[in-house]
Amino acid sequence: MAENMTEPGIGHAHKISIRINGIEHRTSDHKQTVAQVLALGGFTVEDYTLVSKDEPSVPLPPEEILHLKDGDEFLALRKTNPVSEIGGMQDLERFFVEELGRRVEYLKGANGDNLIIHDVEIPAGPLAGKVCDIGIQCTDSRPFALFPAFHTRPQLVSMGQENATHPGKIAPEWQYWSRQWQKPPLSPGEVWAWVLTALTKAKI
Amino acid sequence: MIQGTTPEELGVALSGDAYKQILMLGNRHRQEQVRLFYWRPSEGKLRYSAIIDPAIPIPLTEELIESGNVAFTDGYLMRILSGVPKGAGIGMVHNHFSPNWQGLSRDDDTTESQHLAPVATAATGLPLLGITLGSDGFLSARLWIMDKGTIKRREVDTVRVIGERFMVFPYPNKAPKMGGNRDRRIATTTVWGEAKQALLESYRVGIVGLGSVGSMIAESLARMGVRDFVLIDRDRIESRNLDRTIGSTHMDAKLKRRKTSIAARGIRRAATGSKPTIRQIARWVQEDAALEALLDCDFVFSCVDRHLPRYVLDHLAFSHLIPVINGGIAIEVPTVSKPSLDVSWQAHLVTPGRACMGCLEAYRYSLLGLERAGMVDDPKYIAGASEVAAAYKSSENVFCFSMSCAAHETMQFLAYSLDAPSICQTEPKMYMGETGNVFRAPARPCGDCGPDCLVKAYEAKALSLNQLLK
Repeated sequence: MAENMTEPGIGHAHKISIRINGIEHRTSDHKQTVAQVLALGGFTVEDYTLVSKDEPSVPLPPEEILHLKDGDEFLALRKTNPVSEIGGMQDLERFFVEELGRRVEYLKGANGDNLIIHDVEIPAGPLAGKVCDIGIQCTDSRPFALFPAFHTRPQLVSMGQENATHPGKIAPEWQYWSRQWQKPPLSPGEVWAWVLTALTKAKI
Repeated sequence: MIQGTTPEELGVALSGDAYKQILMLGNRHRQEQVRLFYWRPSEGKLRYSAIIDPAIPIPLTEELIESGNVAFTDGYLMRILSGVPKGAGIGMVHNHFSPNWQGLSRDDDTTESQHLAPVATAATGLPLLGITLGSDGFLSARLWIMDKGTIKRREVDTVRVIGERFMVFPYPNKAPKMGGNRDRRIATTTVWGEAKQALLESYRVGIVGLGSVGSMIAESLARMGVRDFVLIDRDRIESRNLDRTIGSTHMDAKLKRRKTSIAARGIRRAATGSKPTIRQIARWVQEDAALEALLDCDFVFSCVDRHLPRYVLDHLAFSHLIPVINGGIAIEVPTVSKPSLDVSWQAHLVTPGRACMGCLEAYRYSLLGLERAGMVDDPKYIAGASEVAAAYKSSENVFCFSMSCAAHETMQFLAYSLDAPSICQTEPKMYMGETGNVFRAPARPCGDCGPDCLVKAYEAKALSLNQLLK
């Protein structure tokens, strides 16, 4: 299949059918580079490696010219394949709704979008029994990394260094709680523990 | 083939060895782990099960990108793709840091549905099997099934671990529930509690052979609340069976009713739970309809007196990871040369990690070919083969011998299926009438299956049972 041809992209009269990840593609270019074949399937050389289905242990270099035949089958393999318990804001949302049974909404503030968890009762510490809404600023970072702060509404303590709190960045009625992440959270449960720990340790 | 079809039930089964390897993913503090593996389909009439190959390829250091979360590289996938065994599919397992059933995060979903499932399906013709390990050892699974050109996620109903212990992890809305008429099972439920009773009532149990032992087991299970049965026996009742087949009548013998029908009638009468579901297969166990029905079962009782059916059920237990409880009675009546009456029976559980029936000498390999060829039913052949005739001569039995054997088979089933070892140690049991002792039955060659055991060699390989008989 792979040959050292020098003139990729030379058109031929009849179309042939090849498969990439099981999807059929028809082309009349019988000589194409690996990059062109990937592009035919909607894949980029930056993110994907092309291999022949019959010889999947051999990655095909992007610049290699393939002499395509009818019925050729290829696999486009993603170069990195992440899994994680928390990969985005929707994982946090699902946790709060499905696991904790909370009411949530997204709120656009001065700082962008925020995930709001309503009516949270602080379980322990000096603020025990107080009820507030909690705001977590949305992020699309990959790998997932939260901003080092959350918000409460209403403001629960006086602003200042004692609790590392500041005026809200969502809106004036919110309070900003600055809390560093020593390591990225690995689960929604860790995020929730991070919020509750900060609130139970508040000083009044 | 599952692609484009919708089986009623989806299952995953893995051996204790495979489960131990998967559990190790959760051992690293604050570091997710991922593995790719192979699985093979086990296709019953109702249930499509993915049997996980316990040889799980370990990634090289450079094939993983670890940052608390984890990603695997195309190099790991290429290595897996180049080693796919014939007829196997590809699976991926990773761990989470939360307990119980696990949903998919955005990363999980993207990697499984968009990056891996199309490749796995194109390369193997089988769907991708995705599994997530919870922090408490719970396994959540799904298959990504190609349907009309689109890959769709289908949650797996139950994940079963068949090893030293039996474990089952249900999809949340498939969690076992007790059936109706609870007041009729108060005494039983009180012994092990409602959670285990619900588990017991969720099992589909196969009984192969509805003679003396099988008919008693059927009634016993129905009274305890089991409500889903597969009954397999080709025979019809005869007058000579009436002294030891529970529930049978003179009229049954006169009308030559099928043993499966009599057992089904007994189950309906004895059932203490909700209306039982009973599938009757009036076939030899080695016929297609019976084999297909067996692959739907969670547990199978082997109550047969022939060697070939036991051989088939041995492979069912090891290759398809469906636990089999086997029993058999041996009686030697007094003769001139040996004036004593010798009575013994065996009952044992057959699963990976335990001795197979062959190594326990529950069947003789030398007789399998003769049974397949129908020679043992040929009077002319038997007349000229005294050794073979001796192996099949024993038709003597007494009701209470069967009761004792049936009781011990049932207790092994309860101890294993409910993870309640205090009911009964699940080791091969042998009773010797002469001494009145129950002891651990000897196995060949060293207590459990040896390295040359042909049955163990096919552990978790989902071997074609029809192929065994060709």
